[in-house]
Amino acid sequence: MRDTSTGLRPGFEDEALPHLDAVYRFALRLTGGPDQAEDLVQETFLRAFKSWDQYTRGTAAKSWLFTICRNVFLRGRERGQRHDEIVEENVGRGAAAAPINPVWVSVLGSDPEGQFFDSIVDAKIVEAIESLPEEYRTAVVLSDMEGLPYAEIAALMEVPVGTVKSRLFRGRRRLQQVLYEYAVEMGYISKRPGTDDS
Amino acid sequence: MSILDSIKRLFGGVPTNGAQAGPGGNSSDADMISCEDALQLVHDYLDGELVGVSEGRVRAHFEACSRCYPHLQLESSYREAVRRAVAGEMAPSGLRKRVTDLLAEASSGD
Ligand SMILES: [Zn+2]
Repeated sequence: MRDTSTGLRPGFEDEALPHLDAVYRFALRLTGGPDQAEDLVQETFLRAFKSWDQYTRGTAAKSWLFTICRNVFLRGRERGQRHDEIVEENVGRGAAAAPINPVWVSVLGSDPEGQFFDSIVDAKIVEAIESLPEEYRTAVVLSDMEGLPYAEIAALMEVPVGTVKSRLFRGRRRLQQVLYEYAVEMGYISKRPGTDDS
Repeated sequence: MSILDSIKRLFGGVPTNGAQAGPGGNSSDADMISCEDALQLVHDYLDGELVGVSEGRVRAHFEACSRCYPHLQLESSYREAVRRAVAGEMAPSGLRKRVTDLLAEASSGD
C-alpha cells in the first residue's frame, strides 16, 4: 500500500479511494447508466485528487467526494439538456402538513408490515429511484441508501436542512407511491383492502 | 409474534414502560406525544435526527399506539427495501485500475 501512484497526495489512497464503490453507486443513480457513471467517477476522483490539499484530513471524505461528483454531473447536464423538472421548494409544507401517508393508509388493511416491498425486484426499485427528479433523487439516495446525516446532505446540496427534509419527504412519498402502484399492478398487494372481508 | 416482540426486534431493546408508572403527579398521558406529532417525527426518528424530543418519548408512543405503529413499520420496510436494492452494487473491477492509472498520470504531471 505504500509508494504507489498516489504517493504525491498523502492520505488520498487511505481516505478517498475506499469510497470508490459508494461514489460509483451515487454516479449510477445520477446518470442512470454504467458507462456514464464510470466516466463520472473517473472525473470525480481526478478532481478530488487535484484539490486534495483543500480537503481537511479526517473529515467527511465520502460527502466531499459526493459533492464533487454531483457538481461535475450538474455542470455536464447544464451544457446538455435542461433540467427535468423544477421541484417545489415550499419548505414549510411536508411532514407537518401531511403527517398521514396516503400510501400506508391504502396498505394498512391488507399488508400492515409492508411485505409487498419484499416481492419487488431490486431492479424495479432502482428504476423507480432513478425516475425521481434529481433534487429528490439525490436526497433520497444519500439518506436512505448511503445513510448520510441531514447536515451533510444539506452542505452537499447547498441548501438548508429544512429543504433537505422537504425533499426527502416528497421524494420518499413519491417513490413509495410508485412502488405501491407497481405492487398492485403485479398483484403483490390488493388494491382495495378489506372489500372482500367479512 | 406479538407487536411487542416485533418492536424489540426492530429496536433491539426492551421497552421501558416502567418509567411511566413512577410517582410524581405527572400522569403518563401528559408525557405522551400526540399521534400527529409521532407521525410527523417518524422520519427524524428513523433517520436518527430528532431535535428537541428524545428518542425514548417517540419510541414510547409507537410502542403504545396501535394506530401509529404500522406507519413506523411500513416506513422501516420501505427503507429496508431501498437499502437491499443497492446492497450488492460495486464498481466494475476495471474501474479501480482505471482511476489509479488516471491519478498516476496526473501525479507525473506535477
Ligand atoms: Zn398514535
